[in-house]
Amino acid sequence: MQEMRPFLDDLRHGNIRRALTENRVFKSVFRTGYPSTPRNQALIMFNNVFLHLHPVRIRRESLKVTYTFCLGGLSFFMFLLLTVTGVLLMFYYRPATAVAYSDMKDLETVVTFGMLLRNMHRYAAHAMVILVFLHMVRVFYTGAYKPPREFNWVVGVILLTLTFLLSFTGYLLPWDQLAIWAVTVGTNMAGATPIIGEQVKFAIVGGYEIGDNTLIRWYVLHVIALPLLTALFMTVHFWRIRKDGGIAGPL
Amino acid sequence: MATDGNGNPLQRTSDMEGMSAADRARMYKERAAAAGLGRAPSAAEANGGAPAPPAARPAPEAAAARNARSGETARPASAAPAGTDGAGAGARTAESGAGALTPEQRQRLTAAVQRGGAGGAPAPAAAGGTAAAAASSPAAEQQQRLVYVWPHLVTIEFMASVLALLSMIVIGLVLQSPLEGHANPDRTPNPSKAPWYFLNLQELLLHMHPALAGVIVPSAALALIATIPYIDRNTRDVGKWFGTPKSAPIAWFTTWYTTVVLIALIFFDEWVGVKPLMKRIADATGITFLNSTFMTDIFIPTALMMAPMFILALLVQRIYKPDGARDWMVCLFTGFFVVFIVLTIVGTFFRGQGMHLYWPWDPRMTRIE
Repeated sequence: MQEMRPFLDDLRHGNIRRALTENRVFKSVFRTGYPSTPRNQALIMFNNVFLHLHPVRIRRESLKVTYTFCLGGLSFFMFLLLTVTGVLLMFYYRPATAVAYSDMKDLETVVTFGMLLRNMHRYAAHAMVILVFLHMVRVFYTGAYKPPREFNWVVGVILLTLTFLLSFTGYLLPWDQLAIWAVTVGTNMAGATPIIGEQVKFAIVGGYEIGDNTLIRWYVLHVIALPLLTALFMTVHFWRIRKDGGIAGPL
Repeated sequence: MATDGNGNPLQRTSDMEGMSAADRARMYKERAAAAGLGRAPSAAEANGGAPAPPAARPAPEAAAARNARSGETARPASAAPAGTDGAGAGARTAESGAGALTPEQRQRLTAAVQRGGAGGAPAPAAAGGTAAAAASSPAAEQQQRLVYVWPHLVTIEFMASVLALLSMIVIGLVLQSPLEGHANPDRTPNPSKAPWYFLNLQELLLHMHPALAGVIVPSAALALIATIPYIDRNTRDVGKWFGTPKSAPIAWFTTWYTTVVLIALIFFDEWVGVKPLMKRIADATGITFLNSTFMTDIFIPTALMMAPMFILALLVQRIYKPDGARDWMVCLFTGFFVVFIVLTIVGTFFRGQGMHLYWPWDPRMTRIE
């Protein structure tokens, strides 16, 4: 009871914030006191797994919203949102031509909030393509690709390509007319690759015409392979931002 | 020293009873600084017997010299003595190998050292006599420019995430995703379009060989974009929108030039057409080669893509006299960006049945099966 004394005192004096944060339970979770002192502001960056990719301090200019427009961060946010909505969609969608379309219809009519889930996934995908592209444009026009950030720019170009592929592989899954014909256009383009065009097309279609094989291939790429690959490159991308000295700013 | 003889300034003392944690922390820090823990290293200490750097030396240089305390940074700092003055210094330093540091890296290193070694807990810079001198130094100014990520950046990130999430929920509630009829390989819709971000390539497909439009041009574009930082290496203009004085005018000029030329080319192929034109020429002259697939689908489209770029380069050279790689990169990248946007817009809003050009409100824009 003696140990509860400071806590109860704080409560009695109406110092709620201190009561809630300067106790053993809070510190057991966050490993550090409330980040209101420079020491704790630094420690929370070291001790929190979600924050530790950040430095403790950054240049003031890096905060200017009209410099970055938060585009890179928002691209990442869209990736997270797409992962969450995508996992939820996976509960209701089966990648087989016999049932895929009816699963989509069920999502729209039967599943609670199914249509909202699908809409958010689709529009977040569009948003991610736009944001990643605009992020590249921002980085270019601010000259942020220059040494020592050359390689991170290359990683960014790879991530842009992966974003296109992620979005495009998802396009087939509803198995409606829009999906199958858009993918027909796309696979025909890939089939025009010089020398190995036929093999490329066979590999991505999983045969000679778009059907069950195509659907399962694109599904696996969409929900497992490409997200993992993207996560891998994002890891490198974020790591390199730190290693290359934070986001580029004027010297 | 302010501490009472025990030697350890971080010992809890009797006068700390009844203080709040924040006050105790402040007291610890003052005592630690007074005892020499976490204090910024002074130039005299760092250099040992070496002469102190002249006061007029450029900022990062002096800062780097002060860094000489930590052994491995001493070498690269002195290896590139004149690295920071004059234009192109950044590029030169960056080229001189992995050991060398860019001016920016040097500044960061200085800032890290200034912060002190006490486990990342930043001691107030203005502790002790030497730090008072450092307060007016550029490194201290750099220090002043630093802000804590918590709460400054974390707040912005949080707000941006919440706004993005809210807008996605609102968009998801208002706009309904399309779901058309069941997939049917026997019923080809007219027009059949790729997703919007590939409509730029599909637009190219109308004018040239599929290998060129679908594979070679986009791959080449991505590869060229990836090489930009290896060509433009001057770090002078980093971190400012448009950086060099000429890049914004060049970007504007390129935007208008590219838009006009691109739309003219699209109209030319739609109304006159490379293929019908070459067929007429081949018929008139009797040279059938002019009407071959190589000519109409590969050679002429390639020439029509390259020629405007060369003319653009000539015009920009004559009008703006670009100052270096950065200006040229701005010119070329703006060209790419505008082509991407214009082709996407044309493919999305102006290509209707038979992939012909129509106004967006034309009834022939609707898909039929």
